[in-house]
Amino acid sequence: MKGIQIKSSWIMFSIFMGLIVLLGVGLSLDPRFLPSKLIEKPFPQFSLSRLNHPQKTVQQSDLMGRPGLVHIWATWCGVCLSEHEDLMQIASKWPYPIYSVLYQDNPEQAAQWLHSKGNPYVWTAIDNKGRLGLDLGVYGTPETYVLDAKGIIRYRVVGPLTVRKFEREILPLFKSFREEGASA
Amino acid sequence: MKWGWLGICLLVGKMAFAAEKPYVFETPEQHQRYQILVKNFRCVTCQNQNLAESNAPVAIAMRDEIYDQLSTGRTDNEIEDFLVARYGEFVLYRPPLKRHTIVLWFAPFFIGVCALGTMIWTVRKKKEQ
Repeated sequence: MKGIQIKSSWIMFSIFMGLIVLLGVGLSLDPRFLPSKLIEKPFPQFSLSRLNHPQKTVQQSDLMGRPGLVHIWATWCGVCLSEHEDLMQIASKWPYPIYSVLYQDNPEQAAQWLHSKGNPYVWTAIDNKGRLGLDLGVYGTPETYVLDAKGIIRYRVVGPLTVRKFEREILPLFKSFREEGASA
Repeated sequence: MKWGWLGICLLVGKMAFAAEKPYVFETPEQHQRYQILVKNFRCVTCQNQNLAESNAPVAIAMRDEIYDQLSTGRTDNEIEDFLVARYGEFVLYRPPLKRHTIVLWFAPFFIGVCALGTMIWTVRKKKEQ
């Protein structure tokens, strides 16, 4: 009888330890994180007006030719405003174009804000109704999409894009694109 | 970013029903389909709410999209496919019953049965002593 009891205690203990491990792993994950469904897919088709150039439109083909970033932001998004400094630094320090999409926002307000804080973007597309955002699978601004020269989405960063994050997560990607191009 | 969105979801999203936009439906059947559809999709920003409840910008855009697609004659399945293609199955408020979600659906029941079984076994053993 005693032998059987010791065995079942060990079983209970190992199950318990197994659950502890699962709990540890689970707690380290971000339950709100959504992986992008568009990795390795082309940037969605769009045709939107350009901020500060209402007569002009920008479309998906304008993103092709060079690897770059597409940044989704709005002035009502506090984190977008606080990460702006980092974007200015990234734009001045590195040669990769940063395009932006103004997501469901007031264009005049955004234009004024960029005018006063500086504009790191090659152009800004006005996505008033969030349709481009929908096609991209945007769920939490700010978001940054990393594109290769063919306009294919290769990576997404959700949340503030710091200089450090750019250098650690995105820069290696850009460098690998160059190698892809060389071997093609 | 987490705290920013928490703020938005608490302030803007916490209503029993979101501000009803005056959508005009061609038929009462379309209106009914709309009301069911918006309850079946999750707001991907305020992730505990469905599209009927949330006022987050993504939810507003999704409701508009559902309305547009309904009005142009898309079926419920087509609308669902459209959103799942962009957001994944997480956007479905009620997870579908498929092979990979069997654990999700039945695990609580299964664990409950195991717990009950263990209890009965333990009590029986005590009685024997």
